[in-house]
Amino acid sequence: MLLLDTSRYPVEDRAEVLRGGLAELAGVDLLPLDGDALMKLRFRAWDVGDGCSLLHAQSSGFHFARRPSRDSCDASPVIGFSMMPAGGARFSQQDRQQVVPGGGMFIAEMSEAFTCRFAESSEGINLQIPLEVLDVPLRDVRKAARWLPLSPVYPLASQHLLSLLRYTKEFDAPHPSGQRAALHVLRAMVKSFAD
Amino acid sequence: MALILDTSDLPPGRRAAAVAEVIHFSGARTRIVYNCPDDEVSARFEHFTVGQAQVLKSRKSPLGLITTPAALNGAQPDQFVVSLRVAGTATHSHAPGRLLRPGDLFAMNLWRPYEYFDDGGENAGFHLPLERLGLERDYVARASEVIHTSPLAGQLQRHLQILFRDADAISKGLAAATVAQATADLVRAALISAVDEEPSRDGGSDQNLTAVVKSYITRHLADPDLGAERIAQAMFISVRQVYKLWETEPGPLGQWIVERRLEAARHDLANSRGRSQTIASIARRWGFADSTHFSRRFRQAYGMSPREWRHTHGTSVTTDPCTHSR
Repeated sequence: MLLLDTSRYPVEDRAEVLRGGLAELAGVDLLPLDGDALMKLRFRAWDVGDGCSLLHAQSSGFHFARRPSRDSCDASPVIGFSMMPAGGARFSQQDRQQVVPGGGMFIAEMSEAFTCRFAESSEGINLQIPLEVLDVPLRDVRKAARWLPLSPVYPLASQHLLSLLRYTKEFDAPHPSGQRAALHVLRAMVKSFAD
Repeated sequence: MALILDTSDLPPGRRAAAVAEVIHFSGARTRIVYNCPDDEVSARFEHFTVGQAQVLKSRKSPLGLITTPAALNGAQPDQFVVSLRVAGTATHSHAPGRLLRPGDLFAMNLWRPYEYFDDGGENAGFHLPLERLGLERDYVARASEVIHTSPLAGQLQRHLQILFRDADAISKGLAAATVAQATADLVRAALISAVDEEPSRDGGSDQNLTAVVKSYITRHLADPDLGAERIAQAMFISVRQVYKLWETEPGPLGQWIVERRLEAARHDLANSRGRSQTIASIARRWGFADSTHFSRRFRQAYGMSPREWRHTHGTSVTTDPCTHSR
């Protein structure tokens, strides 16, 4: 479902709309960026069951962060698998800094502090899965996050995130079986880094 | 990866026989029709084990495969294959009315008669046991013919393209079993969504899968490592999913397995073949590594020791009127 589309608001209100929308919908803070006033963001999200959610953002580029102060609100870790169908991103969490090219993927611990900057004309998909549903140890998730492109399952996982998005474009919701297959493949990708 | 056959290593005169040997060795009871002179026959077969499933990639000169009911004779293993045509065109009677072109998705049911013809080129297939799908044979047969119309066909097709391309790396890694599980689930979902009918009248997919799990357990009671993890590997589902499936059953999974084992052992203790064997060997046969543990569980279940059970049963046999009449 469509949650936010800044093109519906006057230019002078967009930064504020965006700031409020991101805080409320994604639990992240908008960071200052040149040209904030002209910023465009189209943001959609779906509850896909089992505590998982799928987010899709198309933007003219924006910079956002999750602050450490929010961490105490979260009971259990939620892992975000992100894929950039268009444009790239710069992502930073703990001591990990990644430049993600268009078509690339990265993993975020959604309950921990991070910063992320989407490039101009970028598009991002984010599938958020509670760790207990992902059913893998957190240490494997962290190892995977660091070495992700080395997984033999990386291209398959990337394709599944794209497939979920493609399906939402046709039916405005991911197919439950397609989503389950994506979950298995993402789990497989993390498992490929198990000790 | 195992390279099963590459005819470029063989003299031209031996190639056709080698191709036939590989096809028949794989269990396919089929007649092969070569659509080129024998000395122009060529083939390359590659095989990968992905978890409990198999990936088979083939590149060959033009041929046809004809499998008749008589050739099957009820002996064909219940293998389901979901394939992609990789290069060249082909026709398959399980994909009626379609000329299969590169990238096309189709399914084969190896328990059914079929006719397949191609102009050479390449195929890649994901092979899994029919029982893993938890669907009736006839249902799978109907759904297989229209699998390409499923709303999930695109996702499955792209999944298979990457799986087949990266099969070597995936099969060697720790993730192989989970990828096989994802693939099997996606295939099942594509089949169900391709036909506009529920897979069974009296139960959903979970009930079907529970029945499959029970059938697997019954056939593998002798495996001492039989448990949630082994079942999960065999069924391409997670351990968590095994326990979730079992939530609707009256007792714990482990208890169900032990009860089936005890029942099988009790039967052996009583029958003529089992009576010539030691209690410890019967216990081992049914997955009890420790005979003391077996005796304790047996007594808990039936109120007497295995020895007493055997003795009681032996008495009943000797009092059989037929035995007395001898």
